[in-house]
Amino acid sequence: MKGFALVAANLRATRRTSGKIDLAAGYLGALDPASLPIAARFLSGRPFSAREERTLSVGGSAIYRTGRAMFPEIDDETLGDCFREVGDAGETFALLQRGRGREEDLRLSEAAEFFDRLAATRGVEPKLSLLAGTLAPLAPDVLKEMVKLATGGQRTGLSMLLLEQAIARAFSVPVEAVQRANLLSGDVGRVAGLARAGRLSEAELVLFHPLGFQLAAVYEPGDELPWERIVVEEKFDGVRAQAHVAPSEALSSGRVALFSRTLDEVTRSFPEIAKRLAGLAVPLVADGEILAWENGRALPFGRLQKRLGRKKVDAALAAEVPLVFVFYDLLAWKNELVIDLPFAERRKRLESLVLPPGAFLSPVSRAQSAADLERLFDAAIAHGNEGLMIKDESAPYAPGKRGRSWLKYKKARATLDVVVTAAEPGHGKRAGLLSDLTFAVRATDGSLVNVGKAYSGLTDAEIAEMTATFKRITEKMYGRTRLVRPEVVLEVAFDGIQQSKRHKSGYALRFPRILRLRRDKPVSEIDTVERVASLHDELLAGPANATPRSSRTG
Amino acid sequence: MRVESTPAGLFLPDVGLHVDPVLPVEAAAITHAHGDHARALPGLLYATPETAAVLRVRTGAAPATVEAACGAPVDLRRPGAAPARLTFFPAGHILGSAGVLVECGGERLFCTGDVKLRPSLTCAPAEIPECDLLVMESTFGLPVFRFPPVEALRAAILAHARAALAEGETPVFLGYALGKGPEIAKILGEGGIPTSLHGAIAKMTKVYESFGVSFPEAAPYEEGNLDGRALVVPPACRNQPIVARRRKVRVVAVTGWALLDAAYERYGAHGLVPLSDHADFDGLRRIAEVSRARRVFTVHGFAEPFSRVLALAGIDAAPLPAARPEET
Repeated sequence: MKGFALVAANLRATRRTSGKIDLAAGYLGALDPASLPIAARFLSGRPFSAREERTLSVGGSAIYRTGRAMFPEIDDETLGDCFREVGDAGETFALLQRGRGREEDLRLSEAAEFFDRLAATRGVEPKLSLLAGTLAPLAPDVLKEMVKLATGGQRTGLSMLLLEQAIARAFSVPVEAVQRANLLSGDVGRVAGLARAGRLSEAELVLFHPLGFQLAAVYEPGDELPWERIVVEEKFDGVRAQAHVAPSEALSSGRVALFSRTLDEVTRSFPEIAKRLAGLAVPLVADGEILAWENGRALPFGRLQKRLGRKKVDAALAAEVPLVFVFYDLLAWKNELVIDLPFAERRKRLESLVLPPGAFLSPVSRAQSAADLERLFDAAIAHGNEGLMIKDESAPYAPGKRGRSWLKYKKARATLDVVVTAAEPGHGKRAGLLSDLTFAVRATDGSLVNVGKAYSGLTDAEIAEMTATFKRITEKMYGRTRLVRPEVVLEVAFDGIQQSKRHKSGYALRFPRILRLRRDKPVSEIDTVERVASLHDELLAGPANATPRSSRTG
Repeated sequence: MRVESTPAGLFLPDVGLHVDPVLPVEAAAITHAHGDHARALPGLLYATPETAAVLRVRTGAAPATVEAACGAPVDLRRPGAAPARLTFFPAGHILGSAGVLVECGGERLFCTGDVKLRPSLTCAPAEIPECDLLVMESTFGLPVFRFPPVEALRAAILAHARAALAEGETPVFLGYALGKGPEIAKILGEGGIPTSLHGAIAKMTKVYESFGVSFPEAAPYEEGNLDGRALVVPPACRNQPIVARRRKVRVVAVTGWALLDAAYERYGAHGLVPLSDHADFDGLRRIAEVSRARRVFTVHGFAEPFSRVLALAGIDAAPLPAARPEET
């Protein structure tokens, strides 16, 4: 792990992405065949491959207690202060370990075995003793990387995209071949090994690891479209989900996994969907939407929201909020990746499926003109949906990309997706709860800039839950104010936008209100300062233009 | 002797003296000339000759000043207050920095100001006198903050400079004009590396030179002329043209906060060297110990956790709320 620790430290110190790729390529290229897959996985910030279901089940409390065992001379509160101030468990352990004369290294294979054992160990106490026993003698730099692997990532700035490029560079193979093999197998370690052996074409599809979601760009009325290739679907206001289905011989005992837009597995929140899809006859990976549904139409998102973030769903809740799964695209079919086929071909396969009750295929229409789109849009709104999805039927499926082959057409009231940067306790009934939230959008340079502060909109239960979350992700305290790691995404409505000298963004929202938590939305997709600026200009332009389009993706 | 935290800063009511005031007051000792300790000049200033000289350069103002060299006691006699004796002790933080010992009615109170026990090339080593009451800084008062040996850090600075120069990059070191900047310049000079100094730092090194600290390898920065030279600039200049428009730079943040990886982002740095002008966690504990104070007040940074650490070690300690904003 010394070599890994050194390359991780150098990656953190390297600002240019080309430099990061060079570093990672140089390191991976020099490894022996046995170490290579482990190192590639570790560089991706994970102890196991993305496709594996195994988890370490090492939470904040286990790490804290490991710290207590390893550094008994530090009192509880001070140790907590250390974790909070440093903001990274791996760094905290490494800093505390310095000067204690612990200098042991681990081989990559030993590190991998440790994580295997940790995942296989049941019960808190046995896990703790394994953690403390293995970690205590390690040199600080090795300890740092081991704890980071156990707790959520290396923070080296080496994205999967860069890692794929590094593997391609290291073994002189095309980056497209690396990406495809990685998409298929979901194991960057195996991909590195195949790349080294010149056998990338042997990568096969493995289900149950999330593939990227294709994203939609915004349609503006008047945009010229290739009408002969355009198909239109209604845009549902539900929760986007990727379904992985592996049927078994015995009907309805197959395995199903549902992944969210944030690539988290959410199967347990939607057990009835999983159960129904298990009855499908064909192994597949499909893209679709989970909707609350009653009497032949979608229920408002608010009803569906009750089902989000639940780890356990009882029968009463399932009955209160009935769900359906709407299929709209296909990524894999009978153990083949089909993303390179045109949409029309993927759709044909979907149409050949016999769907169980509680699942249906999103209806498609043709549109020949902007006038057709307006007509279809009004119909979609009348059906209680959000607007339209406009698709090019000749286009492949582009995982993780936002291109012009999918367009969304909405005329929603203006809302913004923002991320919480600071939380403060409220007053009165909400004293002691972190209910006053400062939030930010993304600036051109990628940094976060605040645009406002909201005091209301969440339910009491959500506030209680968010209070715990904000305490956990606090990075710094300024008096009563906690600066938090930007992780919680909100959708906010507002009455107007003012230019502001106080906010770094240059804008302040007037009377912002929280519409809802966007658990389904990754922080990378919050709105930008440019969008705030253009909304500001549109709002200034007066009521004739005051129907700004939201870029929110359902 | 009573110690109070007032809106104007630390106040010793029995002897009528403020220390490092943030508002204009009648009489105050200023422990060193950093902006956050010398925010407001008092009617009557007690300071070391070095601090007084830096304040004159920084503020252009010259209040009535009692210059007291370290170790040379002066009488303190404020109207309506008890007579006392004031003695400065070098704090090892920056040029002229000094803790202030106030003796009154047989009781000794010592305020460290900002303090570092490790050696420096540009200021005198710290001395901590024994006292009854100790008011000490606690900027790095958590056990995660332990700095590597100074020699290793100086070597790291030189290694960054040499590696950058060998690769055709300009090594750029970030350090405040008063303190870290000149210290870096001195370290680079001892390593034989020609160095250009940002104007604010060059101006400050003149004061250092008047007190016998010379910078033979350093010269003020001149437009364009950086081949084979290192550059030292204040951290705020990281994104200004002097650094930003150069294509090949290696920016090195030299600060205690460089212990944390977050410093890469915070300072826009390619290299981190945790050379600090503050005592680290172990240093702070040693200060509390060698002072043999029967009561300790902690200020700045991790005042609350550090006072708890001292209390657990059997020292009567409590945080004293700081009146000035936290140093960043």
